[in-house]
Amino acid sequence: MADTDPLALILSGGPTHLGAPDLTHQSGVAALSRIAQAASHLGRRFETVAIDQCCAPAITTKSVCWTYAALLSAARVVASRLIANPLFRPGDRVVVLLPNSPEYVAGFYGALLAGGVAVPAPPKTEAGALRAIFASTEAVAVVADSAVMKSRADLQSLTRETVDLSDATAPEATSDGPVHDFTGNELAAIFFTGGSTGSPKGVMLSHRNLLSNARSIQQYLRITSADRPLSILPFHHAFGNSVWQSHLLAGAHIVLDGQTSFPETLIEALVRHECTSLSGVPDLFRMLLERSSLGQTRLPNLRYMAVAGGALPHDLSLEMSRRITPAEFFVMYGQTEATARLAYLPPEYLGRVPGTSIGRSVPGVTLEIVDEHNQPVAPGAVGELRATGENIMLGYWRDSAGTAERVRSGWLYTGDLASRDAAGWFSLQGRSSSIIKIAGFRVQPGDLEDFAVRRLEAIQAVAVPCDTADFGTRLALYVRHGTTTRNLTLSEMIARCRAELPRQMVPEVIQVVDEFPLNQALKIDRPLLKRLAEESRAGSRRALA
Amino acid sequence: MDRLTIETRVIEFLRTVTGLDSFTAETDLFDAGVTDSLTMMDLLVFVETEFLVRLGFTDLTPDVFKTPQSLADLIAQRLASAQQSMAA
Repeated sequence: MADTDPLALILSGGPTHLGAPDLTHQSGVAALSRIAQAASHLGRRFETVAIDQCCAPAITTKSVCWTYAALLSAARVVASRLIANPLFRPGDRVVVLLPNSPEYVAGFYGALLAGGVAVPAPPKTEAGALRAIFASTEAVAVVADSAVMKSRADLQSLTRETVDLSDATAPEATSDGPVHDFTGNELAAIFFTGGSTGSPKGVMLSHRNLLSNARSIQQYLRITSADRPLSILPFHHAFGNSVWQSHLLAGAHIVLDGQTSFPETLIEALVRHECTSLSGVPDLFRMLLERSSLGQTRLPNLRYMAVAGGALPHDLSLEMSRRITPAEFFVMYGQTEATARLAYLPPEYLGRVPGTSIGRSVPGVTLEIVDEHNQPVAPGAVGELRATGENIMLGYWRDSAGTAERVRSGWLYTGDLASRDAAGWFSLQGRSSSIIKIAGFRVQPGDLEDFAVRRLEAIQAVAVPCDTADFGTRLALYVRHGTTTRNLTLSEMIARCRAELPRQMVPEVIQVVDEFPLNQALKIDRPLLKRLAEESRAGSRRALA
Repeated sequence: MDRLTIETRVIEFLRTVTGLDSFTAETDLFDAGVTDSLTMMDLLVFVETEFLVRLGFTDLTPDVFKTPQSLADLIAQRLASAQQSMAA
């Protein structure tokens, strides 16, 4: 790699057992300016909560429990190591390349406490995509652990430094630059989303974005320090991020346990840790409904479960609600561009609204339906859903054209078609853009088509979403090969997709065609291809019925 | 259907899904990266339609889904007990 490569900080060491951290050893001025900052700086806010919660458990994993004091101490260790690095300047980007763990949180808040910007990325990010993130953000450091480093051939050449998180003697992080003019609108994190093979879009979120959305979520889900969520969504994803941040900023106790592929392990974890909530994407609830003892096993501590990141069919939401009663089931809606959450359906209305309902806006957000001239439409009419509030992103990283497309005059244009009824409830009516959601991730079928041309020797490719009752939404890929080249076999194509694409982009079916069906306008008949894919998918299940 | 046929079909399916010809009876499914929730769903639907057995939640454990072999064991066992109850 080049000499501009980021420094790899390898986190190690378990939680320390500390008493109350305090601010008393700092100079009076620094302490005061920190307190002033705490209102609008995400890292400082966490610091305040952690000092207040101190010895209470913050995150419990399968093997260990971290208190708030230990977590804050670990974040400060990361921060002090960043600050000690001569290359590091306030505002610099730090990639957080860790699985869901206390270390991830220490890395994220550590970056912020040092005055930097956190850039979360999944530890399995494809090498090319990670390289693109390093280059585009000019990251000075990447925070990982030894397991992640070992699993990635592409990071072997980075300069490494081991960071012992249990080192309570680490010097206190001091990045007391000009704190007095801190407004909260400064960049705090960049979440990369959508395009994985093309050019991923970096959603820039400010301290205010993240704090205000966490506050909205705490309010409508009534999250308090007594809460104990079973946290299974990836922390680096906007939805998962919103769950862990809104709970840690409330002083709650996050539990990391269970395996989503084996749904009963989640029920066992909910029981074992006396969890109060579970948030997930639609596929998770399909699995829980079909493949777990949900409804038979008593969950006396459960307050609610919540779905977002795509549409769960209404009858399944109703079934979820029935199975977990007296706990409640929340249907929620949001976008990374809005930090996370935009709307939610109060559970008591679930049985009384149309299946496409997303309810009403979360506190602090205003939603509107507008026509193509940006004029609000009458109740019942379909238009584009737009949103405004303190949670709307600063923009896309180094993409002012992309930003101008989505954010205009303070409104985020969601790309979703929706309507609003006379009582003020919103319903989704489809997407105006081509993005689809698979397992909670945003996927552009066009990205898979580009990949097929680039890597599968296709001279033409068409990707369509394929929806079936059993599987939810997946992609089907149709490819046309040239006649001259030796063509890849089906299994070579599938292997290449699985090796080089994130899982949600891997097509469920690949079909080689000689010609694409055309519609009357002589364009490729995508709805027909979608129907064919769905029929062949449903056919494979029919035998059992 | 004998156990070996079941195992062969499971391996065949995994090769198709992953495109990897290297699958054997002892391949660790976790290491092979097929225990993500999307692939697990595919595998379940395959097992149920191919062998006409229903896998309950107690069957969905990391132990059963450790290798093609351990999965074939469960399917064979399930088929055998179904036959027994038909005979009874």
